[in-house]
Amino acid sequence: MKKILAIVLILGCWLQSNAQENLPSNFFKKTLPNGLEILVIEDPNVPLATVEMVVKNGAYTEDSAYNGLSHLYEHMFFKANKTYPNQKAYLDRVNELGIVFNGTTSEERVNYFFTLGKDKMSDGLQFMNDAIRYPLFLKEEMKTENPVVAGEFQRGESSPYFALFYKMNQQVWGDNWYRKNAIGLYSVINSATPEKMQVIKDKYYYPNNSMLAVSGDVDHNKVFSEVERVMGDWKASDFDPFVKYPLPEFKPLEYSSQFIVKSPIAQVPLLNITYHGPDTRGDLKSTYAADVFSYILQQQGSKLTQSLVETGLAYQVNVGYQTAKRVGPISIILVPNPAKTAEAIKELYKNMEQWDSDDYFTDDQLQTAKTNLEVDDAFGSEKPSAYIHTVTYWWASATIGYYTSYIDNLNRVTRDDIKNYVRRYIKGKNFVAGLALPERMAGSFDPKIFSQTYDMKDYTLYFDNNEIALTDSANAAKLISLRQWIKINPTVNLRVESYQDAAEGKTSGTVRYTEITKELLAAGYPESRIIGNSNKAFQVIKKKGVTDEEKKENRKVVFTIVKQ
Amino acid sequence: MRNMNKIIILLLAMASTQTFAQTSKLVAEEIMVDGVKLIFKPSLNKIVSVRMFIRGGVGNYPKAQEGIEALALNIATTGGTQSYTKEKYFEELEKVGATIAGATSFDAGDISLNCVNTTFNKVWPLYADAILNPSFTQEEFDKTKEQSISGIKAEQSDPDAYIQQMIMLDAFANLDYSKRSAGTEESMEKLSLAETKAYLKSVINKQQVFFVVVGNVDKADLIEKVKNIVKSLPAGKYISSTSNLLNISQSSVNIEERTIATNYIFGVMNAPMGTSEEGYAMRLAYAIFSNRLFDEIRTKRGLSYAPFALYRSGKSPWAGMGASSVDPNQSVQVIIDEVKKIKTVGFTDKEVTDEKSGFVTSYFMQQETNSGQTQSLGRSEIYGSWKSSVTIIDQINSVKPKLVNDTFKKYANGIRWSYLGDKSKLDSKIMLQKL
Repeated sequence: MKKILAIVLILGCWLQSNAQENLPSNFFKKTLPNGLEILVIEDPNVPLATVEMVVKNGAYTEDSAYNGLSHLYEHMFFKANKTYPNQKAYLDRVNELGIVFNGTTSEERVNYFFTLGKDKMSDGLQFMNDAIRYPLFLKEEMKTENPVVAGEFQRGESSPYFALFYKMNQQVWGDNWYRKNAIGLYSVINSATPEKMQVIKDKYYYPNNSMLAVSGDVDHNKVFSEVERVMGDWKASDFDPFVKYPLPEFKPLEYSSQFIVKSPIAQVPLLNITYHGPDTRGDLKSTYAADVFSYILQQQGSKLTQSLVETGLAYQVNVGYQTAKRVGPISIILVPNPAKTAEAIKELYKNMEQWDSDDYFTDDQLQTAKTNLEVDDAFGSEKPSAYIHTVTYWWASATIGYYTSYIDNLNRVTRDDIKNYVRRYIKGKNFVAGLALPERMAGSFDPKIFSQTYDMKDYTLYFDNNEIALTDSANAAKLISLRQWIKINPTVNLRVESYQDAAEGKTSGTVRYTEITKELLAAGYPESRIIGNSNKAFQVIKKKGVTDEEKKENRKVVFTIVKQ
Repeated sequence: MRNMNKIIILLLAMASTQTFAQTSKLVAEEIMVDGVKLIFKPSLNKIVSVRMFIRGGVGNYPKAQEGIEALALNIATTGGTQSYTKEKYFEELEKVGATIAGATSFDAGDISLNCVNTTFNKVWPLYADAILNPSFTQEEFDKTKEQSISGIKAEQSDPDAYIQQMIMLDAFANLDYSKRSAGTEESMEKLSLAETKAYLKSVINKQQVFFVVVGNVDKADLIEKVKNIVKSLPAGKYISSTSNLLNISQSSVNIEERTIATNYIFGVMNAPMGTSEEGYAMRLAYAIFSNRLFDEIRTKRGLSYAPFALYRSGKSPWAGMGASSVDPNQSVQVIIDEVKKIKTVGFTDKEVTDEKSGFVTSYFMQQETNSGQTQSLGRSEIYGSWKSSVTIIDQINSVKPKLVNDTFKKYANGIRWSYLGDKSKLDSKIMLQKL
């Protein structure tokens, strides 16, 4: 009876614990005394178990001298350790256990995983333990691995858009771009030593910086006891690596920039625009808003899809946000119809200007986005061998709680949250735009593509009688867009013409000109490129209107691009 | 205390009986619905996967029309229907997170529906309408065709995808498998709305289609739903195209220059039918061969990131091997040496036993999702019977090591090599060695 009570009490504790952490009913968590977290996701659908070790390591811990070594370390995991003296022996054991294995290195996570028959789960755990705790980093094995990693690079480089994304990464993340470059620098990998591997191990490979996750047809109690038996004596570190080795912050983009990459192998152009987005340390609310907004934009009925894909201007448009602990990127991808590239880019920018307006999406689209995210999660959880990677991603870049409350939080996202997200991270913010262009199109393409993406008459500002301030909401919005435009067109000469009606006060046109010039200078536009009327000293153009319509037309400031 | 134990045991027994009773029902069965086969497997989860397969694949159309099925299925599933405008169609699907998609490859096409079971009734009419009454407007046709051509162009620039096109054109010259199911720029340009529409109508008939459903749905209701589609289908006439077994007796080389960072090598060899005993043996042989190449090329020599060997057990089966490498000569030599070694020494019994275990893992990984299961059941039906999707584990486990070795040897007579990259780095004589 006591036994039963104990069982009931333990069960009670678990239920309570699950409730507190809001875990789904098939999720079970435990932390060993050495700090190793264990997560079990029970799913008896097929007789398999997936064992995954996930470590908080990756490109974000790397400076230029170590860029790519988390990745190389991941490769070395599948090689010699104290039980299996070389990679051949290691792989023989893989085959013996019928393991399907892999590992990945990204910006904020390194994970290693084996899928095998459920009856061999304990063998899999032991095998994982040998590899994670006792790697040998044999010099000769590292030497053989160098050209393998080089091969991985070369395969990437053979992709038509590799150069675009590589350069994009450098421009978006500035001095710390290595910390978002998981594949690493070839020169660093090529000259890596066992000592450097050991440095990484000594910094990050501890139970209290790791999680062991198991999914599939397993019993969580058995997993808990087996992990404790096998890894319970793994010694914890006496420091938090992220306190002892603090990571520098990514600097916000100081200005917007653009570039074109000509590709000899690309057949269709591809535009990528990237912004610095929110992260799970600083702005959780926006991370949810970002996901909901991305799912609004990808709907068939969204204004973005309708105005770009349905009109035939583009073949594909996608807006995505990658959740991260340290500045998640917002990435916009556009595959334009090659014959309409300039038009498509212009239309994209037009859409982006409207992203925070009330009528950009409907309430139904907002609700659909939330439903789709929820259904996607249901589809994702159907495959335990892959689902486990999703969950461990959240563990590394947020928390398990972030994930388990994800759907609830998405459902709380409001229109205002989305507006705030757009205004805080996208609208009027600095970005990098890169265009990969097939070489055959390059000749017929004006490299000032982005400067042609706006019809400048869209920026014409109209004023009331004697109005000189720039506070009118329509004018203010146009100026925000104009500031954005000049940021990506710092080398284009701009003519600014100020008109005034004869009935206005003498200085109205001049004051408007001065105010606007100030705005342009504040946006970083060089004064030398601002051209007044007719290339001469600035003069207001005065006209006399009779009708109200004529008078209104006479009170304006007009911008034009001047060919260099 | 004793009584309490009994109760617990009884409860446990009841629980396990219940589980057994539930899972024992989760087996696939076939039901004939007005002359059309429905393969249904219930599940406990909330996802529903439906596929209507269309037999024939590239055998359904001439070379000049390659891509026609892909284009037709794409328009049928994305262009709206006679009852739903395109906007309404997507709005209804997206509201509940459901997807309807068309796909085709060498041996079959399919129109699939994926949704959660609570929305199954709501989205089924859209699925039925996409099959029976796609709208096929000129505007939608032109747009989809243009997008498809853009996709084809993009694929040309991907070396992995491109070299696969090269090997099929080379190894299956003038045979069905030399047709590209996605089409080529040239073939797609010539397709008209009328012929594309007529094509789809001609292949969706009672002889040529069958349904596969895996999900937690009511069987009687499902049959009724399928019946409502089937009753509108013409009887049709379908004669299966013939299988083409490759007969490569000596090696050859097909080279294309491309300035890229590495060089892509892909060789094709003969292979047996997938549903034969040799076919099961070949699966094991090539999985072990792939392990060997990984060991010899990557682990020992660091010559390539991703060496591979594979066996494709379609209507016209083939086997392949390759790598991407800056040192193509050495990589090719290692592959050839390994083929020769296997032909003379063979695989060990342990390798065969271990690989069976790896096969089981991969098999169940594919069975994790309902969509994976409908794919597996449907593919097996195309090649003979859906039941082989269920019995394949037993078939694999009964293969003797001797048959694995004999099969590899029997079909490794020559390699049709394709090469994409820097011509000057390759000594093609190495590829032409006798095996």
